[in-house]
Amino acid sequence: MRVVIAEDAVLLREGIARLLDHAGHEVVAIVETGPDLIDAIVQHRPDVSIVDVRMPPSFSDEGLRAAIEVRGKVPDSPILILSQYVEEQYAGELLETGAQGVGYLLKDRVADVSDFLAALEQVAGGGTVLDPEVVSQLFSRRRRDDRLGDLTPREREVLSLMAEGQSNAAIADQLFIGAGTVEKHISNIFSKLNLDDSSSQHRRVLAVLAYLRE
Amino acid sequence: MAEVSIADDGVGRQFPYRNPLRALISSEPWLALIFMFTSFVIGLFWFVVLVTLLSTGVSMAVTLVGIPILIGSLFAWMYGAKFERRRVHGLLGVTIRDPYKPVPVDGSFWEKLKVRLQDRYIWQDLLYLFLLFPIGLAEFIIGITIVSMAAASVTAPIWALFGGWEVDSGWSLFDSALTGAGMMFVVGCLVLFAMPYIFIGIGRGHAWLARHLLGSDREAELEARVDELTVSRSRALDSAVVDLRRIERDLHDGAQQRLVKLSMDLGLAREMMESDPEEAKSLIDVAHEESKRAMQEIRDLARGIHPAVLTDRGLRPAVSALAARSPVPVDLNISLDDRVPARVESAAYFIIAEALTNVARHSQASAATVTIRRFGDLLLVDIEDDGVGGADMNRNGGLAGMRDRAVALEGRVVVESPPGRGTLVHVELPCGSS
Repeated sequence: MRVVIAEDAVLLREGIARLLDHAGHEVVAIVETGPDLIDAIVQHRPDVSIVDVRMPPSFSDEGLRAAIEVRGKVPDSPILILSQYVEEQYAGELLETGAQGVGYLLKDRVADVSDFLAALEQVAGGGTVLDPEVVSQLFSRRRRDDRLGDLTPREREVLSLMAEGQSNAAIADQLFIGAGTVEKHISNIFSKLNLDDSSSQHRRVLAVLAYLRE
Repeated sequence: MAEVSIADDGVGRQFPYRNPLRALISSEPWLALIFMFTSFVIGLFWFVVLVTLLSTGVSMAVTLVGIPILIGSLFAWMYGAKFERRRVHGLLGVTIRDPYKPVPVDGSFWEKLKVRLQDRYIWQDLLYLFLLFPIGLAEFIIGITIVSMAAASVTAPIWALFGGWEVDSGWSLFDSALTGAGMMFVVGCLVLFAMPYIFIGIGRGHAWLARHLLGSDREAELEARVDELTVSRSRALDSAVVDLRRIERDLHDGAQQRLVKLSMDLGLAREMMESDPEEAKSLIDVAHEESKRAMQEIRDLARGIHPAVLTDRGLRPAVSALAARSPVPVDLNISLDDRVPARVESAAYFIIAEALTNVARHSQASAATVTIRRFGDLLLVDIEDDGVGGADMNRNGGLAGMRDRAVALEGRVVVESPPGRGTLVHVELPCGSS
């Protein structure tokens, strides 16, 4: 894959570049500011960009804002946001630009190299990846009609993995259950939450996120 | 030469006149005279109105009809006192601020009324309005006497010349009407000269009375305020020191220990790479886990110092993230259109964080509600739970910390926590530009 990295911290930037190189990906550009990121994506059309939320000059959220802006210019350009903190709010703002090819992970997740690379590939392939911490924030939010309470513990597990953007196969692997069982859980979840059980896996993730954020 | 005056020293404007003759050409005596005449009219008005209202109200109180009359008269005399403050300001040049205790902004009518009834300044208002009648009457008589005396005396020669002057027995000292009239003229001039000083004196006397009855004791108030700020400042400094120590300890016991362990494990793993690759690999696994835990600890610590989302996005998402991490389910009810100043956001955030920590630790509540809204210049925050109550501001360090945060911004925290009936923490933070 061809990757753009937007990160101002030298250590982390080099670490990620080395890790990508090691995994056989090509880093086409490394930038340090939001505007440079936009230029780099417009110019290189990478398969995926890895973007730090916090960058110069204001060190607040220019990475996120640049990502939102660039998705207006180069629609569907896959972006994986890395952040020192994950907040449901930022995830929401990012997902509003369309959930296709979007990832939002805690910086720490880079430490689990294979998981991180898998997430990166999923985002590059148009999938959605959300950090488990965001998902747990979404889950603990209190709703007026708390239909989540109707779910069995196992169904809740499946739902939170779905919200993270995991594929059915990955869910089956993690929970040590068969793919058919996962399917069955998912269809139960959808009927309990009154969600439209459409066939495409991506749209199911969207429905789950929409439900959790409402 | 510019007019030299020591402006409003709290007693009266232009006091004292460096050159006493200046008083003659200033507007002060004439405004004071207008004040004296109007005092009588207004004093008479309030005397009649209040005597009527209060006697009707009291006599009808048993039938309940009297109650609204009494309440109405309270608001009437408050209005009267406010008008008096404006009149004293406009005519006597003495500024008197409304001294009333603040009423709870979102309290019910009865709560507000209760605060009013317990406010001694409101009763002083009533006293002033009753005193205004006799004092105004005296001022009116003095004013009218002096003015007419001066006018009659000064014009005496004219009356005498045109034959309208009859010397009665009292004036038999003078051999002719004209001599008498001449003496009258001299006396009249003296009165005319003394008149402004008399008016100024009466005006200032009245202003002094008004300041003491209609105004608050500002000096004592300021002293109390200084004491309060001194205490809250030293508490704020103490708590800053305590916070720094806690952060130092957390870093030292947590992340730093983990990093030491991590580098030891990695060093050991390097040694064992050749001799025992299996053991080396498991050491690296452990080190990997340690490193992730260290990151987590540092992140939590940094969030406790100041959450990034608060700076970037403001109170709503930051509080929403707090609520999401709370073990007790939290309902949020936030109506804020704009960002409030950063120091207010920060104080509100940490007060809410502390309150929710208390809810989780002590309240045994099953649910909590956080309400945030603007009321004029104030940011109002309520944190309410349905737990066991009994929280005590004086015994709970966390509650005292909340109060200090609020007081540092000139705001306040009220805790209502009757045993068995839940806890309400009510916070008011001014968002002014000062």
